[in-house]
Amino acid sequence: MTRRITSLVQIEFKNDIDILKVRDTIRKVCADIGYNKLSQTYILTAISELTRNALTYAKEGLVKLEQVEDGMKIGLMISVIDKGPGISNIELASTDGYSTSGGLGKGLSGTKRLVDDFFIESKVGEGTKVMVIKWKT
Amino acid sequence: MPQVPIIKLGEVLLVSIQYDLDDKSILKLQEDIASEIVKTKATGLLIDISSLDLLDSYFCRKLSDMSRMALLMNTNTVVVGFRPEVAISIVEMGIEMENIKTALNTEAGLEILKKNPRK
Repeated sequence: MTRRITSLVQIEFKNDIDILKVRDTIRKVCADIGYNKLSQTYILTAISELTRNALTYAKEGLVKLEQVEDGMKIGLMISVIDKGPGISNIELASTDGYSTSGGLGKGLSGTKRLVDDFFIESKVGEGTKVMVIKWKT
Repeated sequence: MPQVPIIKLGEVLLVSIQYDLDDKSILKLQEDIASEIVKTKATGLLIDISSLDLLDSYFCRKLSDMSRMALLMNTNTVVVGFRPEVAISIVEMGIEMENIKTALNTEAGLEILKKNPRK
């Protein structure tokens, strides 16, 4: 079965106030799709973490929201893209408990647990792209 | 962004965070709490987050900082009003809420502060 992807919106962010705008957009999109409260909270929290990461390391980034349909399933595919320093050791960064910013969160590994699918691409000196999918239950 | 009101109730300062705060507002809140503690000599701080639909690791760290700062000024802090989905998300992510005492709601929080007074 092929997946159908529909682009919804792209939001650039350069500071913490922009992250609040991203959250508001996600709230609206989640309401449109009809996610339950827990799923919406998981998505908001995951993207909050990822955009905060991008701000910390790259000072700015881009959030892409796309609707994805796979047979009967419908979900949201969210990409957080930055042109920052990149992650040299993705495996280490995804380890439980690993954090370079002294954060309380368990970095990428914590965010992974909030979503259904998690993809990360990173090139040192070029940037990082994290893509997550959360299906509507 | 309008500033977050701080209300004095006896020995306790009540702070109700009604919406997503930007970084500058969080810092302002921290400063306002510190000066209110000095001004009122409050020994308890209750932070109500029941209006928030998410807590990320950054905000949790800020709550922890506020709690530690208050303690340096002889004030105990309780954070109340975790929505179920917020509590579940924090645990699922593995965020450690360090130095933060919590309670279900404002009443329970005030009880805790009353039972553990700082003189």
